[in-house]
Amino acid sequence: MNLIVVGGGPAGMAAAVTALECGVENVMLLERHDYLGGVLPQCIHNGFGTQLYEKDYTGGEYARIWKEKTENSGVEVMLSTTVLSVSHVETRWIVKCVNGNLGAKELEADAVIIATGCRERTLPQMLIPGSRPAGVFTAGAAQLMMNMKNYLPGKSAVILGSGDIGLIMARRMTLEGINVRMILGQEATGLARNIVQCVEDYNIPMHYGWTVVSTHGYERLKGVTIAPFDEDGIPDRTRSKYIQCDTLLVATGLIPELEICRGLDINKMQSCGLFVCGNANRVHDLADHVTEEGMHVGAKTAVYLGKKAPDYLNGLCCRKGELTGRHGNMICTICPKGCVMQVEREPFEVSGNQCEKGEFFAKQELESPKRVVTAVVKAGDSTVSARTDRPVDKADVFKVMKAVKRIKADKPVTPGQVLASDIGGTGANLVATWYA
Amino acid sequence: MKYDVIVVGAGILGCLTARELMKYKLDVLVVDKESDIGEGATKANSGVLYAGFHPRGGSLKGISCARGNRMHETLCAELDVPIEYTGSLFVAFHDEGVEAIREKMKKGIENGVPGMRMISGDEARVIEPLLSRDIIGAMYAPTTGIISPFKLILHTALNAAVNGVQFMFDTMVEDICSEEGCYIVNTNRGEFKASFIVNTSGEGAADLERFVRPRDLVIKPKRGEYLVFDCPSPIRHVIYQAQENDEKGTLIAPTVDGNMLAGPTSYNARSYKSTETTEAGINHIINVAKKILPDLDLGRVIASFAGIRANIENLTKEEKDFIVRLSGDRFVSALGIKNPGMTASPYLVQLIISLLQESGLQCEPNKDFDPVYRAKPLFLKASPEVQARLLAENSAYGNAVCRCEGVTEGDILSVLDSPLPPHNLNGLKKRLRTGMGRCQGGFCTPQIIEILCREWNVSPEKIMKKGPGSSIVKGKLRP
Repeated sequence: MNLIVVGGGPAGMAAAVTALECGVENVMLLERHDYLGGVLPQCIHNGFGTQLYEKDYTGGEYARIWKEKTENSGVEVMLSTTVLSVSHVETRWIVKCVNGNLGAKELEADAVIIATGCRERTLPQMLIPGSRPAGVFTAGAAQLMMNMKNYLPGKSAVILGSGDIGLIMARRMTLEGINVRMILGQEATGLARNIVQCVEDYNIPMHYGWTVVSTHGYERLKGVTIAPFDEDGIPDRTRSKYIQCDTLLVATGLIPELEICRGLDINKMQSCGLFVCGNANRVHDLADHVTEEGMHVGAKTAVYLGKKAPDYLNGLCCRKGELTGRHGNMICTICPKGCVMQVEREPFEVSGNQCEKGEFFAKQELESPKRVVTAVVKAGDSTVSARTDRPVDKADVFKVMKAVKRIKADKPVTPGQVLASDIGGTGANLVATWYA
Repeated sequence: MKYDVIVVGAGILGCLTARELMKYKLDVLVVDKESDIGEGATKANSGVLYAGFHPRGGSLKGISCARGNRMHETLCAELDVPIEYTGSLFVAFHDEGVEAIREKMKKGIENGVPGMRMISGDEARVIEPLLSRDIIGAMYAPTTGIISPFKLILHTALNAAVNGVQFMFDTMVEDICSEEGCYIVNTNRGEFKASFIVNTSGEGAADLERFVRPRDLVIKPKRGEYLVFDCPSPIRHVIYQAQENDEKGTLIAPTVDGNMLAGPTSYNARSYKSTETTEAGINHIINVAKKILPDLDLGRVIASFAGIRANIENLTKEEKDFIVRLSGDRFVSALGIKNPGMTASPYLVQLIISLLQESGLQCEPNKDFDPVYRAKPLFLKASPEVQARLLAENSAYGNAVCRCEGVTEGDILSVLDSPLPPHNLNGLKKRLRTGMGRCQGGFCTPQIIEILCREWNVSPEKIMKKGPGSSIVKGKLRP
């Protein structure tokens, strides 16, 4: 092989396809799951592609774009293949991996791109004491359970962490009837649109400056003790409160996963042909940025392998635009710029928008706000993810969810297939977005 | 059916005793109230093989520890249990500390610990480069070691089972009465008869003894907390420190799996279920660990846990010791077996057997006894030839499930299919270390639930983390 890319998520797919487009021959992509897309398919919510494609895709839809690109590009894809280690022997890279058909294998390449994504910080890593009952999940694990495995993680939850994953899971759980008691976080770190559409839409209590100081229950979680941070950033236990819940979601940050490179000094390895991209390199806010970085690193690797990088990459840059935190009180979602606006009701006044569409959006948001609903639908003995093909009135979201829960689709379901028309009488159709 | 011996308590001491009894032509039953082996003190301890310089000189605890330490070498070779005599450093930060260490050394000599020697702080730092500059002296003890407590009990129990020991779990002893030279053990799962009883029930040992003698001991739970650090361990030796204040004997130690442990603390616990960690405990461990290794990176903590040990409460420290005695006719009890009980266990077993013989147990040698147990290697750690064979058997070996610990679906299926199979996620963890790595099960738990649902043909809410009531998920999102 000339190039092996480890990880078939947005970064890896972009890197592999771009390297091939740059003229690198024999590009192989190794993916541990039996589908391409990485973490995207479990992200059934929309908001992907707004910057790179000026579209509002769900994670699954975004994954499919790149899945198809990858499959049509000539990249050799090996699914269900877990890479165990990457090592440099003389001038070659040895990639050890395991696969159900081939067993344990050693592959050789001139260059390797690591696109292994990230993992989540866990509760014990934060040195939070307490019992160790069932019902404590990292947010991503709960997301995987709900969106891909058809499991109900709990009935009442506290979410620790106010980053995007925590906010998105708060909405997801609320839509499924799980009582989200509160979100705790140090400060507003999530994307502004998530603060609006995931938290404020559903009046989920948000406690900035609070944390969990203990977990309770020996079998299943019974509750958590929470406390505010004092001026020194230490939880003030004199002001602690007990919150009853059977589930604690831990959404306290992501850590680049580079375990397969153990023993290698990543920074020094570029000159020998080892590159890292996507969340394995650094954690990004948006999948669009991950894709973009994957493309750049794919081109950089091609240059390392003696090819020329195409010019269009220079034009790519979506690093600006969307802001995190609650700087404004509304995000315009009409166009992909996603302007963060400050909107006053009386008298009506909009600032922060970059064009007049912002005003139109603000008016609509004040008069009759609309949302895309995303959910999973029963199909055979598992589920598929789905979305409404247009935004529905915000007030109708639970009506849509009620209808969604009643659908029983027959397998096989193909992406794009209409699972229900005029869902909940909203005029919108429910369309399948991902089926692995 | 009437058993020759019923062992109550499937911790390390009970399982090792049962295995030892298989060297003779005997019918042995082990009962335990929990759903798995080693659910008490055995499952949550330091994994340290103590040399024997901690306990009082000449005490049963001291002698059984020093002797047991040596016996583990053969035992672990027979049972394919990872063990490493890493040696230990007992470090001191001041003159009083050095004095305290000399006292320990004296105890060690009385208990028969070989090879201990005093070294300077600089010498200690040559052996363990990350040690604090403030350490002025240390005692080196070559026989201190580390061991996998999970593998020790698992392989002991599996070897005992292969040789004919029967196990009954979820079996709570409610009453024991004696009838014409025979004990009748009443449990929630029926009545069992035996000529002899071995009481290795840890937390419940004093209660069980009451059926044959008046109570004289009060056994109460003590909790010890630990922090687990990610691989690789920054130290190679077990490191104790001379206590300045109430430092609860907290140590740091490498584990055979490549992690580092720091702990334990020692607090009275409300009940044997009280295995929570506390803010005070975690802070204490951090303070001690940072005192010994000032550059220790706390960002490498991947887990915390607490274990419970059975502590005899109504004896003074000077009187306190392991107690192995004939509680009644043909009824042997081991009481107050806390640290260093795992190290001492092979020696204590000898004591239990001789007490049984003293009260009339006939020990006719069993020529068929096979002391050797060989664990099946994890697929990813097996040789290419073995891998090829396993994969031909089942392609599930190629499906990596727990990426942190390198466990494949095939490994899981193999364990589910073995004797003494696990009944929940913690049982699986005990056997395969699934979920014990840096992601703490974040990636693999959903997949493991799926595999267990399929293999056990149950709905997802039936998959437990530990005992009853610990469902990991509440059912299906879309039933």
